[in-house]
Amino acid sequence: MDKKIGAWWAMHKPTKRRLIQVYAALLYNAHIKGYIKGDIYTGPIKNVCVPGFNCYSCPGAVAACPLGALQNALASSGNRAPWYVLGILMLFGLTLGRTICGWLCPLGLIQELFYKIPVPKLKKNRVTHVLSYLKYVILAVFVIAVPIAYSAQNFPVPAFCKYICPAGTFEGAMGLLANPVNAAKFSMLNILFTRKFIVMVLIFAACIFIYRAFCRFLCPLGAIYGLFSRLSILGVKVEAEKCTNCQKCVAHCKMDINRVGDHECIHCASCVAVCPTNAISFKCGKITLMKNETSSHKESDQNAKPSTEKKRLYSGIAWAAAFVLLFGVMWYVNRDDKPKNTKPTQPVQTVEETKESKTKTEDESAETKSEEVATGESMDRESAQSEATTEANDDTPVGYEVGMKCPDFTVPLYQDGGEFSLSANKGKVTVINFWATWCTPCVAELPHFQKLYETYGDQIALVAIHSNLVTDDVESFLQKEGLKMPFGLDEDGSVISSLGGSTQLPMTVVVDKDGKIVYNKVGSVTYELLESLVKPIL
Amino acid sequence: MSSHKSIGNIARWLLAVATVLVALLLIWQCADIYRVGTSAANQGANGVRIADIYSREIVGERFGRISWSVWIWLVLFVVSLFLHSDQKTKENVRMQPADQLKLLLVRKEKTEEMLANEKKRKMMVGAVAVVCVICSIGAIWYLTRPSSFASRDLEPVMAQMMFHVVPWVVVAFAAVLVGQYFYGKLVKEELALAKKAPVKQNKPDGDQITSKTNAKKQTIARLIVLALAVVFIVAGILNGGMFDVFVKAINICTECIGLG
Repeated sequence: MDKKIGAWWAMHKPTKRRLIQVYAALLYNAHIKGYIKGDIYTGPIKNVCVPGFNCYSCPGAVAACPLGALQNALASSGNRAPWYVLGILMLFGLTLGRTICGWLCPLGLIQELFYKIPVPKLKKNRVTHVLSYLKYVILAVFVIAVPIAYSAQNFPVPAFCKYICPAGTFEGAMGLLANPVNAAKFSMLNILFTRKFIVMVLIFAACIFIYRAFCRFLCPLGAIYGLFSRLSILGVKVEAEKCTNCQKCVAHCKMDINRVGDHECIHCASCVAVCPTNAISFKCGKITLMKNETSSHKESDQNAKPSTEKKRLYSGIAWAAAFVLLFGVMWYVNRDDKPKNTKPTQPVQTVEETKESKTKTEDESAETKSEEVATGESMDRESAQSEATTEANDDTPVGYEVGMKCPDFTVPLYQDGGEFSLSANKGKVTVINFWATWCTPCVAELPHFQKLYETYGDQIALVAIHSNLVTDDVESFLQKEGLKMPFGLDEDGSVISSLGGSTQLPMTVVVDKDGKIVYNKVGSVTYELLESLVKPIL
Repeated sequence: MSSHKSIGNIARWLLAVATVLVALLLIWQCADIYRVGTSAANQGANGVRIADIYSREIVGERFGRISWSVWIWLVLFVVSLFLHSDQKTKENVRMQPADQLKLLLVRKEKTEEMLANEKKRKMMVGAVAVVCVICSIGAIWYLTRPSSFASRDLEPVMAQMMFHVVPWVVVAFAAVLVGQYFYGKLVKEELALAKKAPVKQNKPDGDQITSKTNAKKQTIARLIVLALAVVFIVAGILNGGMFDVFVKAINICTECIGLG
């Protein structure tokens, strides 16, 4: 029995590459708290991109996705040249190349695990070889052409993310939806999710039968890194003097390569063992990291033992350093004290909790008001007292859920330098939209709010608040768009946070004449929906 | 042993069928949820939906309906895995004729017939390249026209783009496939000729030989790319590109991940 287990383990034990793949996936998705809370990491590590394919909207993601970042950089290239992302991609391409695909990509790992499912497999052939060029078409059309075409219109369209990316659907959308905290987000799902879910199922199903189907035929990131195949420092190298051109390596490889190390090669190093002349090795510059072990023993039998010991020592040190890094990152991203620029996640409050918080808020607001009065910047004491009395008589709890009293806020306006205050518009139906220039659905739905403002402007109060950090010149954007409705600014995210929002845009809140919330949802809205919400409560 | 192997094969084929079935059922349920959610029965006044298309309950209930297929799949998976684990994965790697020819040409002299065949192959590659260039011009012409992306209503824009670009892509890929087929035929012919050809006298020269000059060129290219990458990153940090990446990464653009 023990022998059988031993034999099974020898056959199925994870390779070094698999361990590194798992390690990379864990490192990229070290924000464990995100899976529990159902929200994403918002700390400073997200300034940088990871080399592999990993959706940055995944609750666990600790850094940015290079492909998502590239599309968004190209989408905003009308305002700013995408130097940063291009530089990052060049650096990754130069140093690691497609070794990233073979060793450091979580989506590659997922595909390889799917391929482990024991079903009959479709081997590489002429058709797959031709299809391997499809990823360049995807790169040209969905990652480059469409975002650039729309960048001139100030309309960010990351087309690959929106229409194809299986990582976005699997890690981002399904990662968030799987958490019961995000149950309300199901109401946002429409044709986009339906289509992307179907695309994801098709891709994953294909990966069960075809080795790395997405990687070989569709992945634009692999296509980008493939461009650096001749330059990349790390990877599988062939010693020309030893190579006999027997092509065993090419025949052994599951990818559609013409030769080892070309643009299709993911440097998985499985060919190292099959080379009869030991011409292939895995190198970093001139340092050999992996070569055919049997050959090294034959070549230098006497030095074999010490070199193996040394290798083990170095390997042990490397793994220890890797684990220190992993646990360091895990501790850093999951610790309680939030870094700068982090917006607090608003927990779902019960009515009782809200009542308590209302009392606290009232106390705090009373203090603030008294301070403002003292400096002469607020309303006079009498009106403040009368308002406080009215609020005290109203039992409706303050909060962000439908039926609750909307918390008051004041935001500065872009157009005339004034400000918009909810309390100043009491007695009017108020429509609040949270948007951002870099958010496609936000920009797409602004005309609906404009139309609502033009139709019901005298009966309602409406404000579109640019939220969650400003990256572009919003005023010039508004001028170009020709939008006349009031636009406010919530740069630190405190207003959206007070209304239950956190990291997701667009968000729309409708408040009735009594100040009670009648609608509060994340997701796109239509004019018909807005009208149907506003008209009955006018 | 052979019966054990055949049972394993049957289990693998059954698992393949079950995999396709589960995938189709998932797709069908998802499409059906959308169909029901957008049907006239769910439309209220002003075209606003009475109930949401998706909800946790709907998804749970629909998944429950097809859970039997997942259980069957799981059972078959475990059985196949168990049967498969005893078998050594033997990869049937067969060298392609093109690779065989490449290997043969290292030590064989090229005859006139072979040279004529090679010319034909080159012409074939040239013809396919011309078709591909024409197709890419057609696609690029559409993609670079501002009027192609004038509307912000992305659904019809994308449909139009597919309508105008996909045919070019299909033609190009079809040309490459057809070209490959005939190229393969020519390679086989040449392989037969190469087998009869006399052996080369001079030393074989592999095409993977990287000369010292190439290595030097590679180092220079690497340094240039590295310098450019560093300059680009610094320029990106200074022009706010890094902050752009940060802002996008810390906020969920719901549409980008398919939420809607």
